[in-house]
Amino acid sequence: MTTARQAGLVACVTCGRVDRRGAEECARCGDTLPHQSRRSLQTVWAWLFAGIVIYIPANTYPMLRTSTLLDKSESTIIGGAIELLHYGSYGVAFIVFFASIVIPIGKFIAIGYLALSLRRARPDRVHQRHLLYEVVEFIGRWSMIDVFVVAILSALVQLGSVATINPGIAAVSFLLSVAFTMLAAQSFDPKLIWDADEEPQ
Amino acid sequence: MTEPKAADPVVRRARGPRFSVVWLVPILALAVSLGIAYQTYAERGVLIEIAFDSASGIAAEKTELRYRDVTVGLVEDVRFSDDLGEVIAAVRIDRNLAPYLDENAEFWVVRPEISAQGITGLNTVLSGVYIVGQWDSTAGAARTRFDGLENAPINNPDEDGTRVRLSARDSNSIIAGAPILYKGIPVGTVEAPDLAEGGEQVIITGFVRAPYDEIITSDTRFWNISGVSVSLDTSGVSLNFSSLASLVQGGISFDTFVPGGDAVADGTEFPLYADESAARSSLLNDPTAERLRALAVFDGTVGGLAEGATVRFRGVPVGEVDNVAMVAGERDGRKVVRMRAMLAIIPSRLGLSNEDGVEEALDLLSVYVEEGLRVRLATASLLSSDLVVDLIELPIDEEGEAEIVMTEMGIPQLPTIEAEVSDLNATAEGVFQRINNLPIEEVLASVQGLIDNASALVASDDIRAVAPGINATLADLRALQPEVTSTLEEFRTITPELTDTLDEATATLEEVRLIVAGLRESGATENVNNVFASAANAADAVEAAAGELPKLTARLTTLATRTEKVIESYGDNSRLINGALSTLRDVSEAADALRSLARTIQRNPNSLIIGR
Repeated sequence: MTTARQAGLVACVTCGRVDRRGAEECARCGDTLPHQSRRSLQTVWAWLFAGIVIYIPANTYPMLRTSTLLDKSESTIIGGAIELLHYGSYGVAFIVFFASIVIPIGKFIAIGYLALSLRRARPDRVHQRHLLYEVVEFIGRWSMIDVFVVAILSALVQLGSVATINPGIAAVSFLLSVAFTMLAAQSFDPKLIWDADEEPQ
Repeated sequence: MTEPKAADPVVRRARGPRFSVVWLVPILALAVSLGIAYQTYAERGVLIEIAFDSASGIAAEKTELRYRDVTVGLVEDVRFSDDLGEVIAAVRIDRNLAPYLDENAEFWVVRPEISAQGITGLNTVLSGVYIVGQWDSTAGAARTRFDGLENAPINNPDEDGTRVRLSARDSNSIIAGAPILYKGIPVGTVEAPDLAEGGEQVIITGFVRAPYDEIITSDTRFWNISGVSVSLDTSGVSLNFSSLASLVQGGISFDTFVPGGDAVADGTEFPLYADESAARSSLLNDPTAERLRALAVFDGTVGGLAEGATVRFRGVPVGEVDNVAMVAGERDGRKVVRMRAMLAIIPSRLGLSNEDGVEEALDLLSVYVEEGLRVRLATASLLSSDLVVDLIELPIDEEGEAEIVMTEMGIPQLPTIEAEVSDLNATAEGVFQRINNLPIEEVLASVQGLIDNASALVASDDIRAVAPGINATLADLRALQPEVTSTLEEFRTITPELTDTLDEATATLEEVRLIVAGLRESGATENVNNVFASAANAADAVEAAAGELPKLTARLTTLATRTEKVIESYGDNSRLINGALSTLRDVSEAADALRSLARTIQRNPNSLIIGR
């Protein structure tokens, strides 16, 4: 089976008209034809890089500022997870650790891997890579779980001097980091996985 | 059928490798991240190290450093010094404050503390301990290594006030932090009591806060209010302690009793008196005060009057006894030795000014003496045999007039009166002796016997039966009395007649003897006849008188009979009489005993109540 790419054609995503590759605009509707080139990857890299950069303060700065009558504490993401572990809440500690550390870092790696794999001369395991992309795309929003917790706690626990919880810088950073990685995943065109496979050498 | 043919594409040459706008996002993110990082770094404080003996309660990343109750730092790390001798708390402190952390900076740990002055640091029970820093407001050579204090310093070095050095024989349990009170208001605190050089004295440094330090002048007296004082005087026993804090921590009070002192500089030394009265009387020792010297000469012993004894006027000390000496003198033509006390009276204590006070005081005393002021010795207190000199005012008519006389030495002499010295021991002994001497047992026994007898008498049947008899007897006696009286009266009237009769008889016999003699001499019959006639007359008179005698005899007999009856009736009731007599004797004894008791009590009527 020949693909449009193999035939040297490209379809307009707006009206479906098939044009020859290399055309800039659709002959029928005048829309810009999808670009299959590096520019797409450039966006991915940009978002990914932004996500990674902003992920650093998300981990070094406090996520939650808890001040109670007795105590005042600031906890970072990993610190909170370790604290939970100390208290014996292994389940919650695992969820926090998984959602806030494993998933974001996994996403960085996955997106990076997907983007890099396109450069390979002889790509393989195309299906697995597409599956990986689907998973990254799907799981993206779920790493917001920490942000949700912080948002809800900050809204609920405002008991004056008895107990107050405020979000720290890390909450915003983490939110941005997740958002940037989602954008990175979205700007990644899964077709490229397949295209790379079929690119005539 | 034509194959669909691709339209002619509008091909534009790709414009090289373009940079997407999206790249702005990571650049922005990087910039923001770096910005936050830089800000964090810039705000990051200076790390200082504070060495403590122990780090009780200091926790890394938790214990705060506060300055004026504002959190300015946080302990980052707690570790040991190299020789394990100290605990070093590394504190990240606000960058802006770093220049002020010079050698004046002091740090200590605030812990909850319950002391006599109250509970402090209670907030640290919940929040944990914190470190307090204190430094002055001038920037100096910044340091990063400090030694923490074990306890909070007593006074802020910045605070305005005056520091005084109080010298005392011993610290009297005054400890650092004890309050300094002025009229009961805490106006300062005691810093550390310390041994003076040589170890003879204790120097207690006290700090009196502004504006109270203005009260302190060179005339101010400080005294100790530590502990409890129990005083026993005429108003009873009183227990005094200033406050609970001063009971535990000790305390110092001060007052300026006389105005006009000079302002004092920081660090002036004052003596610390044992109590307020000592402080007050110390004013008498003011060597600069002018004194009015006056003599007072006492008869009798002045044992207990020592040099330095107080001179009181209306109960207020106005001076003291300078010396006591014996002087030989003459009184009523006899040479006697008397005691002479030199009194030093301070005019200012009498409310006179210091300058021309001596003259004025003398004038004042002269006026008072004319109105009855006298010098008298009195016991200083109930329990001691010390004497004081009292200037008392007596009604002028009681003591006669007196005036201040100038002695040869040019020292005025005040009139004295007899001492009112009560030796407590002697008095008490006497009181006990007297109480001991009271015949209480005998009185009780007598009273007991009287009551017994009386009750027996009252209970006997005889007494009831006898009562009417007694009445009748008494009535008879009463009725008999006039008769006896009249009989005796008649008897008395008869008696002269009898006397006359006897006289006449005697005269007759004389005449007879004369007649017989005449007859013997002359023998005349006529005379004999006359004699017989006279004799007959005399015999008639005697006969007439004798005629009256039986009547008298009868009356006497009747009287005797009746008397006999009465006596008989008494004889019948001899038991009653015995009883009554014994009762009367008992009553008499009881009365005697009561009288002696009454006399004993009368001598000292209040002795039984107040015991002296």
